[in-house]
Amino acid sequence: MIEIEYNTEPLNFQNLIFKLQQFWSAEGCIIMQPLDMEVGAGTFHPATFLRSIGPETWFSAYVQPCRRPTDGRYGENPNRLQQYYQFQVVMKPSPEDFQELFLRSLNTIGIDSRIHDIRFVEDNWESPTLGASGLGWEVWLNGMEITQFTYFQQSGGLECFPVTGEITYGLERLAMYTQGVESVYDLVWTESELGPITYGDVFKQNEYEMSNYNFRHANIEFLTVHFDECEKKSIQLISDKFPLAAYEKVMQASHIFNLLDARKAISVTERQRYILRVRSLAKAVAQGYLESRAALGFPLANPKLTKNMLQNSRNLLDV
Amino acid sequence: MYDDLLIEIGLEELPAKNLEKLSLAFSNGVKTALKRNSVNFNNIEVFATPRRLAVVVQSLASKAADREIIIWGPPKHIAFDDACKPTQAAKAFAKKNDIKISQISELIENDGNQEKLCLRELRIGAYTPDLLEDLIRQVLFEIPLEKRMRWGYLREEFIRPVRWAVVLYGSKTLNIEIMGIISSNTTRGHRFLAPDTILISSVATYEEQLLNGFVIGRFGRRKEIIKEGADKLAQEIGGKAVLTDQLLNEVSALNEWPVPLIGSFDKDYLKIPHEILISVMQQHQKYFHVIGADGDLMPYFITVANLISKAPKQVSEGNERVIKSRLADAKFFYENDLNQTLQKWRKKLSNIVFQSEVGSLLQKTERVASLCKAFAVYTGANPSLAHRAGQLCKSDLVSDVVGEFDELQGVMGYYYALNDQEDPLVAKAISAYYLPKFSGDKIPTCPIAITLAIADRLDTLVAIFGVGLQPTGSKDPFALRRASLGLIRIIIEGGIDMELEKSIEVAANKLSLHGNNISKESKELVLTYILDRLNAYYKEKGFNPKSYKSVAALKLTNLYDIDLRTKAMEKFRLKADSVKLISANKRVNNILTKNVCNDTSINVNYFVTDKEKLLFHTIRKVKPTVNQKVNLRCYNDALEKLIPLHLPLDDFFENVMVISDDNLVRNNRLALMNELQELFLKVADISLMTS
Repeated sequence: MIEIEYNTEPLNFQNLIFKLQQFWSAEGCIIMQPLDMEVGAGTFHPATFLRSIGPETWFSAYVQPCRRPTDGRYGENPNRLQQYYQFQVVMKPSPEDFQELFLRSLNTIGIDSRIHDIRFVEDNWESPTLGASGLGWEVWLNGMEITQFTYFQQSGGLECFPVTGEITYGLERLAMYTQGVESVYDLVWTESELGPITYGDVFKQNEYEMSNYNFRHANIEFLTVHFDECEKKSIQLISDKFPLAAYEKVMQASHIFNLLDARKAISVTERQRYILRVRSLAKAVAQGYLESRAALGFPLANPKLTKNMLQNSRNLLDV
Repeated sequence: MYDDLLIEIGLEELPAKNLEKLSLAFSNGVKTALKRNSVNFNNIEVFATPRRLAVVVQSLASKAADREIIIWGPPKHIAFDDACKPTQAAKAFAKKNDIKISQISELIENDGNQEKLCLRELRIGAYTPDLLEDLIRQVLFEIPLEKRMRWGYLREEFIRPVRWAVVLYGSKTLNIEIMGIISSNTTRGHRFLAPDTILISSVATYEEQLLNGFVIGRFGRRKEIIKEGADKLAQEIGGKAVLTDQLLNEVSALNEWPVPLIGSFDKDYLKIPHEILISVMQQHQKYFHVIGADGDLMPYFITVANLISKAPKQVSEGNERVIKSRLADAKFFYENDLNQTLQKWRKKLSNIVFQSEVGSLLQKTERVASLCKAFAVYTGANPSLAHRAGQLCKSDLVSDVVGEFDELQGVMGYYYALNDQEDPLVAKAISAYYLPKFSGDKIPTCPIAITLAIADRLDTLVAIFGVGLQPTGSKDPFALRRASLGLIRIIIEGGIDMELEKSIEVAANKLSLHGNNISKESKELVLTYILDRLNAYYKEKGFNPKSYKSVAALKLTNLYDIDLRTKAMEKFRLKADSVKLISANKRVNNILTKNVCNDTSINVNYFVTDKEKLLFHTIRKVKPTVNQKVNLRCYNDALEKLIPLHLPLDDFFENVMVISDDNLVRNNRLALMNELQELFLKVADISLMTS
C-alpha cells in the first residue's frame, strides 16, 4: 500500500504551488512555466491543447494565469476575478491511477481525505472555440467545486488517441479553503519581514484597473480590426506550415473575442459566428500540428505505437 | 450442477443521474443474455454504487441446456426427381450440412405445409464458465449509453473508465479480459474509509464483505439510510426534510457510504424568494431543504457526505461556506433585478433569437400577445390582461437570476411582475403558463395563464412547422411533442371550447417568414401532428384506441368536443347492447359503400313491408332527441337513444332485401339506410368500434 502524506499545516499561496509542482514532478511531469500570453484557461496552453493531439506521450504540469474579462468586479467581489490562477496537469496516455494520484496530491496540500468529503460529480467539458470536448467530473470538496477532471475525447476537431487526462485545480479556491479565509484578497501569498503579503497586496489594484480597462476602455474598433488581422494571419501561417505560430494568433483572437464580449460589443447572433471563426482556426491548427509532428516521426511517441499511428495519420493526411 | 455467479464491474465515478438506469440495463442485459444462451438460473440480485455495477446470479446452471437445432432444406419435389433420385439441390443440402447423400431420403418431414428435407441435430450446451467471457463483453457493449468515452490507450468505449472487475462462479475465480483489465477476485472498498483491496472469498459473502469495506452495495438500502437520516436531522430542529424522489435517487447515486449532515444559513436570506433558495440547494448543491410545521422554508439544509468524517463539523462548515457564497450571489442578482422592470427587459429580447428564420424573442412576444387577445374569448380571460401577460412572458429570461438559475424562468417573472405593480393575475400567468412541464404535471388553471399557455405553444408549433423544422424520427430540438401534448391537456382538461384548425389559422396569420405566409401544407401538418398526439394521450389514459379512432373519423378539430365524444364512446363500448348496434352499423355501412344512394329523400309510399315502416318511424322518433342531445354535447345520452334502434334494424335486415328489383323501392331503402347512417355519425363512426 502507498503511504499517503497528510499535510496539516495551511500552506501559503506560493507554497501551495510549490507543493503541487513537486508532487507532479515526482510523478514524471515536465514542469512548465505559464504561457506568456492572455488565455481564458490552462487548456489553451500549447502544452495541453496541442500536445493532446497525436500519439505522443506527454506528461506535464504548470500554473497558468487565466483572463476572463467578463468576470472582473473592480476588486470588490471576494470571489470573482478577471485574472486568476489555474494549476494544470495533463497526462497522455491517462494513467490507470489518475484519480488516486489526484487525491494524493490533495492530501499533500493540506486536504485530509479522512476529514473532508471529496466527491467526483459528473461534469462533461466542452470548449466550443477549441473544438475540444471531454468527459469527466467536477471535484467537490465539502460541496465546493475545486477541480475539473477530464478525459479528452476530441481536440481541435480531431479524435484524441491515446486519451489525455486533464486536471485543472482552481488555486485561489483551494487556498481560500485551506487557509480558511472568506475573501480571495485575504489569502496569504507569503510571509515577509513586514508580515504577511496577501493576494490583495499583489493583485487588488490590478483587478480594479483591469476591470476598468475590460469594461470601459478597451478600444472596440481596434479590437475588431485586430481580430480580423489575427484570423487572416493565422490562416496564412497555416498554409505556410507554421502551425505553432498560427496557434498564437488563435489564442490572441480568442482573447480579443472575450474582451469584445466584456465590452458588450457582440450581439447574440454575432457571438456564435465569432466562436465558429475561432473554432475553424483551431481546427486548422490542430490538423497542421498533427502533420508537422507526423513529419518528424512523432519523436515522443511510444515506439510500439508510432508505427501504427504513423500509418494511420498518413492515411489521415492522404485524405 | 448449480452455483452462484458474481459479476462486479469497478469503474471511476458513474454519472449519478444515470446510475439506476445503468444498473437496470446491466442486470437486464445479464438476464437476457443468460436466457438467450439457455443457461438456467434462479434469481438475480442487483448492486449499484458510484464505483460499481454488480449482479449476483443465484443458482446458475453449470452448463447451458442442450438444444435441438432444426435445419429445413428444399421441398421434397425439388430435392428428388421423378425417379426419386436426389437432385442437385438435395446434394448441396447434404454437402452443406455434412451428411451422406445415401441417408438423405430418411430426412423428410412435413413442416405443416409440405414435405421437406429436414435435419435435426442435438447441440450439447456449453459450459457456463466458457460462455461468460463473451457474454459479459456483449452485455457491456449493449448497454445503451448517451455518451461513450475512451481512456488511456484503450480503443473500447464505455460510460466511464473500467478499473477492475470481479467474476466468481461458485468457488472459481474467472480471469476474463474486460475493457483492458483482467477480472479477478479482488474488489475495492470505499475510497477513503477502506483504501486496501478486498479479496472476495465467495459469492455468498460479497455483500457483507462490501459492507466491511464501507460500501453499501444496494441502491435502495442507501436510499433508506439517507431518508431516515435526513428525517431525523430535520426533526431535531423541529422541521421536516423535503425529499423529492429525483433528488433522493441522485444523492443515493453519489455515495457508497452515505452520512447525512445538517447545516444552516443566515435566516436573512429567507427574505428573497424561496424558489431561489431551493434551487440553490437542490439543483446546484444536491441538498435537501427543510420546512417547518407551517410549510415554510427553514434556514437549514441537509447534505449527504460520502464519508464517516473524523471531523464532521468541518464538513458541515465547509458546506455552509459554499451555500453562503452561493446565496450571497443569488441575493445580489435578485436585488439588482428588482431595480429593472419586465417592460425594460422586453426590449433586450430583440437580441435573442427564437429561431433564425422566424425572428427574435421580442417578435415572438408580440405574436403571442396578440394571440392571447384573440383566444381570450374561448377562455374567458380578460383580453387586455391576457395581452399584457403575452407581452411580458419572456422578459425574465434576461434577468440576472434566470441567467444564473435557468430553471427559475417564469417563477422569477412572477416576482418581478409583482414588483413592477403589474396585475397579480398577469404575474401568475407569467409563471403558470410553463405548465405542464413534464408528463403528469399540473396544468394552468386561471384563464389568463391558460390563454397564454395555449398561445405560446401554438405559436411555436406553427412557426417551427412553418420553416420546415418539425420533428423527424427521434429528433425534436424544439420539444414540439411536449408542446403538443401540453396543448392537448390544457385545452381538454381546461374545458376550452375552441376549434384547433381555426386557431392554427389565426396563429399562422400573425407570422410572416421573409414576407411569405405560412403555407397551407404547413398548417395541415401542424393540425395532423397535434391530432396524432391524441392517440398517445388516450393510450396513457388507458382508453381503447378504437374509441378515439371512431371519433377521429369525423375529422373534427375541437379538442374539447373530441374528448367529450371519445369519453362517451369509451362508456358506450362497455354497454351490453353496444355490440349489436355496432354490427348493425357495420352492415349499413357495407350496403352504402357497395350501392350509391342517389336520392336521399324518403317517400313513405314506397315502403313495401311493415319492417321498413317500423324502422323509418323509429328513426324519425329518436332523431329529434338525438340531435338535441348532440347539440347539447350530451353524447352519452345520444348514444343511449340510438341503442334501441338495433331492434327494428335487425328485424329489417332479417326480412327485407335492400336491393330490390324495383328501382323506386330500392332507392327508397337506400335513402333509409343513408338517413340511419347520418344519425349514427352524429357522435362518432360507430362502425369502427368492431374488432
